[in-house]
Amino acid sequence: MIGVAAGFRIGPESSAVTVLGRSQKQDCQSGSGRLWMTTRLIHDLRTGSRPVDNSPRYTRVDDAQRGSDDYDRGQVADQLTSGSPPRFAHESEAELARILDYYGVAWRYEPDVFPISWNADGAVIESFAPDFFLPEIDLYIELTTLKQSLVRKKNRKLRHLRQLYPEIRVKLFYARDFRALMLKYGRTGFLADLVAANGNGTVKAPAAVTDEVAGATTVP
Amino acid sequence: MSLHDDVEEILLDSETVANRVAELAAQLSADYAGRDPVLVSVLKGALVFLADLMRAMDLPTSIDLMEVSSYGAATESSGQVRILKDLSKPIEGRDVIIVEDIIDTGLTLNYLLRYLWERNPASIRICCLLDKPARRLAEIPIDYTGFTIPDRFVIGYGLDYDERYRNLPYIGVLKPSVYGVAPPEG
Repeated sequence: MIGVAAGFRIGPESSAVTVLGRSQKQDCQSGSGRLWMTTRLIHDLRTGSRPVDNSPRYTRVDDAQRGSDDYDRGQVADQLTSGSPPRFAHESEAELARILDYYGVAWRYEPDVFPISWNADGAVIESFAPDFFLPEIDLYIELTTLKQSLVRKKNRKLRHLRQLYPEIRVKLFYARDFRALMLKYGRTGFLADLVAANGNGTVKAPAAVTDEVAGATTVP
Repeated sequence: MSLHDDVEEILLDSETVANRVAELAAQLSADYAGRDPVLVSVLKGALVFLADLMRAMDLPTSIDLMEVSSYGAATESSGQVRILKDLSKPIEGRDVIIVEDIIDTGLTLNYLLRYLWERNPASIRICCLLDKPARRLAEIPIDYTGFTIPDRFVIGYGLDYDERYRNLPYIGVLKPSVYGVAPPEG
């Protein structure tokens, strides 16, 4: 398994997972963005009345119609339709993908974009694209390891999303949730690296615990 | 230096745990009266719970044990969950009760359920001591729950951190300083 959208998969090998660097991300953002059909498409995907494969399921939206920060990962839709592995915007997302692969849970990376606000002309000005969709579990996951100020913004978007699309299930994984997950799997070394890369000093490398020790904590 | 020194707080003392385990055992004994279920546990965390639960059950039960690889310990190997120890006897036609110590993401159990259903048991029910729903990814139908607990790092009564603390008689919260993490923001 498991990258069902384009028939690809990623494994635990780091070479199979590409994490998008800042400059790459900016480049991609300037490219064409694609906004997926919304309620109908999502209903189709969730009910299985439409195959979860590579068939075109999006409408193109002019960049001018998009807000400045409403859809910051349009490059991923391009990746999915081209059949190449997704380029994750953050290493934490790649790690979650590896965990899901490990336990045989199918996932899609940012398959849907949900418009959440429109201007007077009816054009979408703000959208929300959850990081993962788990088709077998029927659950969207948004992973955030961002600063608290940005988390507030994401919380607001999530509230709007839930109001507008009450039928979908979305779970927001905060930084603390991700930390707990890493601790559970004994991935303290990874966590320390991640924190160091983010410049966020909330984790210190424990002397007695290393990634190699990988103390399994509890059965999930 | 005592093991207890690393415990920030006792979440469930041994008496509370024992009482609840007895209640679960009574409920299982009533629900499975006249049947011969097999209790299947996953090593190692559920061992203590299994030992207490089965002794409190008034049923002709049998037990079997499995061991499943964990993500963190195997990220450098196959990249997929592996059955390290399989069931020792067939479960076809048997009533299976999975006895778990804790369910949080549900990913292991989700995998295990698919695996066990392929063995054609008559039924599978889940009995877990601790349910930590805050981090659930895979929705698992839990039939018997001991306690629903908050999203904290718990140890004791079989639960470990880095293979330690399993022998604590209660369920406690591990001090964050032990695993090197400062208190979470916000």
